[in-house]
Amino acid sequence: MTDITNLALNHDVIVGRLASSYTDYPGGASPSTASWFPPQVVCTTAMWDSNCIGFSGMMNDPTLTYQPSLTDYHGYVLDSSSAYKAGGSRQASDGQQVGANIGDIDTALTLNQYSCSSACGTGPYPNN
Amino acid sequence: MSPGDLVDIQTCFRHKFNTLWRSGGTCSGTGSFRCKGTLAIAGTDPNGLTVVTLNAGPDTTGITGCQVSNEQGFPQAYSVRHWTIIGTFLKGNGTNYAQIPSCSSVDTYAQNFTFQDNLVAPNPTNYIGLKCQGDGTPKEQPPSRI
Repeated sequence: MTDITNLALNHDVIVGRLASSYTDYPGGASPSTASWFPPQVVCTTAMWDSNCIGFSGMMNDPTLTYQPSLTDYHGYVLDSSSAYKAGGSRQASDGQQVGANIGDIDTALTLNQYSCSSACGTGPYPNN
Repeated sequence: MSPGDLVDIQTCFRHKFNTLWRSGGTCSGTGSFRCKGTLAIAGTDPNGLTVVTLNAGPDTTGITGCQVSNEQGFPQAYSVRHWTIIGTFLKGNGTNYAQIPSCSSVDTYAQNFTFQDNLVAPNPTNYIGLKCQGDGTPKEQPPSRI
């Protein structure tokens, strides 16, 4: 259990659950209004709607086939129509996309040097 | 134990010193889950055996036989942010459903926990939410654990 006096729980997307089961923290709003609860992961059309998330690899599928192991993880990039993208009506608390930034993962995978954002030694060092 | 730790007190001869128990959201004194303990305050020795807490009374004597623990309050400052969670979980027998985050076997009061900006997207057919014993935040499921 968490101590709700200093818990931060908001701006999450929780699939298949109900807002009435969740309270926002801080603030204590119930039902939750600061997180989102789409019933499905998969979007039935080529455009995002509030019933789905908007993964690019799970768009335009009327059969709602869930794809837990896409061969290319870029299928988990949010479609441009998704409200959960940066700048969307349901963006993250920091103005970025909700969830992982796949572009940052790509960048990290191809970096050959790591530069510290603050003092951390005499680097940068080759990342190999 | 250090000042600021949550102090769980049990088995005192004078039971008024004990941390209360609860069966729902209200600390009625009975139930299966411990209420949040009182705070250790200045005078508590991190390197010794002295623990100082406020005493709301009414007992002022008989502080014997007490078991004192700082088990509550951990983990501290644990943050989960910007995760995308994908996967298929097998639906179990009621105790083995998919939960994110996973459960703790100890009824703690984790401090400064952050779960924010995450995209929790397992197969909705088998997903039952953020709590161990039914989904919801502590307000909705007070007897359960996150």
